Amino acid sequence: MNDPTREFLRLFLSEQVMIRGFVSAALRNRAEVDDVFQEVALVLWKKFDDYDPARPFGAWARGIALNKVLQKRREMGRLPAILSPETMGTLSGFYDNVGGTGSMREALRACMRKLSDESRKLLAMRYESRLALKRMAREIGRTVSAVNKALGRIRSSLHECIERDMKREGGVL
Amino acid sequence: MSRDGRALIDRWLDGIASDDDVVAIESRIASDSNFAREFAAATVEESLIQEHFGQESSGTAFKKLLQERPGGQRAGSSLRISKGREDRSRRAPRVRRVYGTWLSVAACLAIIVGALAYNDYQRRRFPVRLMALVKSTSANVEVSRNGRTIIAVVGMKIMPGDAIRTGARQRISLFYEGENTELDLSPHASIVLERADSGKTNVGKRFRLDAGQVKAVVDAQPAGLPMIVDTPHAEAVVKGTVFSLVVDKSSARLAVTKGVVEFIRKSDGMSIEVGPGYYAAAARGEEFLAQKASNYDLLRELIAKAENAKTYSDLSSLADLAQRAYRHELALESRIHVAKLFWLGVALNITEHVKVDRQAEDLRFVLDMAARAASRDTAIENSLPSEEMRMLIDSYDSARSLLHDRYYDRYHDESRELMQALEKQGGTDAGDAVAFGLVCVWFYERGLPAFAQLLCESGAAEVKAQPGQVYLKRVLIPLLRERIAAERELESTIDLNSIRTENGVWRIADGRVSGIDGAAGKILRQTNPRLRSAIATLSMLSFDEAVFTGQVRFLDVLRKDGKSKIVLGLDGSLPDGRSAVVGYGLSRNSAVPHDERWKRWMWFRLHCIRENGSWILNWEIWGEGVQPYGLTTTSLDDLIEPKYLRPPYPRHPRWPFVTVGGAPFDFRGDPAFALRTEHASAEFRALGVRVIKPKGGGK
Repeated sequence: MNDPTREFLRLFLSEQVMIRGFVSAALRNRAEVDDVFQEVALVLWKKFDDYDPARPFGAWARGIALNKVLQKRREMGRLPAILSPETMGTLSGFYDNVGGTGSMREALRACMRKLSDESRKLLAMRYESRLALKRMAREIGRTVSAVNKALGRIRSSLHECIERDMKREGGVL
Repeated sequence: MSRDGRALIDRWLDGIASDDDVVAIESRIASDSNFAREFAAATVEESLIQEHFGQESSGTAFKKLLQERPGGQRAGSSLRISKGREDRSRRAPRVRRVYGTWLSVAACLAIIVGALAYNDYQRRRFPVRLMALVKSTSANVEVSRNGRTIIAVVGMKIMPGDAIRTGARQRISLFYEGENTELDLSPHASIVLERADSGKTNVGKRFRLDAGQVKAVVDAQPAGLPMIVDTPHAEAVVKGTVFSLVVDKSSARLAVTKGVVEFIRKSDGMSIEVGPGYYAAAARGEEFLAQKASNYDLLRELIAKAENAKTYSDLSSLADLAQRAYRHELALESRIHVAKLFWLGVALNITEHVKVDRQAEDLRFVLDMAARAASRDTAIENSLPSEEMRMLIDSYDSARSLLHDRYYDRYHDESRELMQALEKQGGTDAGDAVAFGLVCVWFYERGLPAFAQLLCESGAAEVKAQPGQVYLKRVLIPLLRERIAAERELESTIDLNSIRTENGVWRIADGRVSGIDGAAGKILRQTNPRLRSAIATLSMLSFDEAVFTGQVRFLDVLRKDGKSKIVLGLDGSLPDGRSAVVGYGLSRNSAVPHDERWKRWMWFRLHCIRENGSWILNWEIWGEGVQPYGLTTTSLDDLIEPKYLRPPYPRHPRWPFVTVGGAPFDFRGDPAFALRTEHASAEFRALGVRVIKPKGGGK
């Protein structure tokens, strides 16, 4: 692989989770997030020549992601309510503080092992099988709200666990 | 973070946030940085969790794709890597009301009260007249607010205390609600909306322009509260006017189009009033007074020197002159002359960057330059930085001589004589007319007659003086029209609106078949024998993957009237009676529902055939469920976005393979493709159509 490609990959892979997170903050439908994220990845690659290395890659990528989100919104007419452009502009700065996705990834892996079987099963339904909450609720005989709360509890415990691990490892969250 | 804040985020992540939730989230992001931080972190963690559960991220797939490709060619792709789409069409249901009606109503009221309070808080902090809104902006313009950097987007509020910095090629326009006041910032500008002194509420708009240019249309301001633009060298006090202010390291230059601006030099506090049609400069060594904006003589001198420049030192002196002219241009806001200098740059770039039979990138570059030059407004808006202006001026002489030597002997001589004759009548616009004319002719000779005519007409509109208009309107445009009309007769060799089958092959030939959606195209017979190539224009295709090979010498995408057109330059060395595959690829029908699109892949191959000296394009198309005329046109905007038209362009190591709208990888080896082809073949066999597969491709 040539140098620009390697450099692009290094930057992109280190920020891709953040970029995807940013896109998912703007759009609620996961399929739309997938689509937009892919488009963002390709645009970043195409425009990599324009990237000024003196600036943070993440901020540059988020700018492009934001434009893609707005473009998507224009294309789709009215998407299910999404955050306003102004809010997204404000939010963008906060992604600078979400540190080291590489170490977060490691921490998440360790924290996943600590979850109960039931929690892991719920997460697998949601993220592996990509079931909608309604469908999950039907499968396990609970209300949508209950499933949402259960997932929320699991996310919170993962968040705390990751935070603990990162602090222990000297990372920043 | 509070429990309800976390619950809000969870509802968002699970796709069940209601509209009220969205209002609450927006309000909290704006007012509570802890919440915003948590929200950002939660979305990133969500992405990590998804990745953990085996949903291969696009990034990973992207990496694989790049690694598979030698050289890591950069190009677009329609890579689709998502797994099941169980929730693709899902729309988030509203949250169930588990807490009872009264609690929901109370929650809504709380949200509304919160939002109103937030708005009121904003209003109390900053009177509405001090808050600007973003009217339009380039991508990634940065706004610094309270130590954080945020990206400007249309509709965003710019508060007192915010700083905006534009980079290269970036622009941003701001406006004020309730009044007709607008500010346009040029590239490389830095502006701060200054805060009022603590406790002061009865204040006017106040900016600090540290660098770059701001053009402003300012509505009448409240009595005693003028708009003040502060610069390191001077201060402009504006009560309601149209003006342009440019700041660099050593000067601040103000030009007023309408109204009166009080201009105060900081070094000695001297104040002058600058009225419409006047300009003034606060700069060391320059007299501080309002001067009538007139640069005619300067321009005349510049043109004369450029004509006579023979040596490098001649060119260097031209650069100084150009600097002076440039400052005058901005002061006067004289559009025509800035546009003219662009044209000179175009001429240079044509001669330097485009050689006969060079690749598409070069042509794109020229088109980009020409498009910029053709747009009077763009030329002005770009307000060329001095270095670029210097380059254009430096290039003037060499451009003219190259044009003369290589391509335009006849036209140049004609133009030169005409220009001299016209200048005797006192019209410097003759130079513009000549520049336009040369470029138009060049494009005409490159096989783009309609484009040449368009440019020429645009030039005629640009040139104001009668002599220049006479040259363009009475001489050149009629000449082009005549040539174009003559050439159209030759273009009728083939019409892509006409498709018929012949021996099982879909063939494009004479005759019209109804029901073709948006298909159009033609092959032009190239009239310039030096080019030894033909130009084909296709405007019917939407490519997901397309590879053009062998006989294609260059390729470009043009857009006119909202339609995209692909231009293929075909090598003229193909002997008569022979054919060659010039392209193949995948297309898909975007008219079908999104989640069924994979069924709608169409495989096509494009042959170029020489018959009796003329060119024929022959298409083979097959795809599952695709009607023979089912190709639909979608936008190729990505390819013709100006940013992509600038060098350096991604170049495939195996040039002349070039791609349109897709990555240059060999999709024929893709199992999914084989599946599609199989479906497609069956479909076409059912229709009694013989399907021809490419040699060595497919399964």
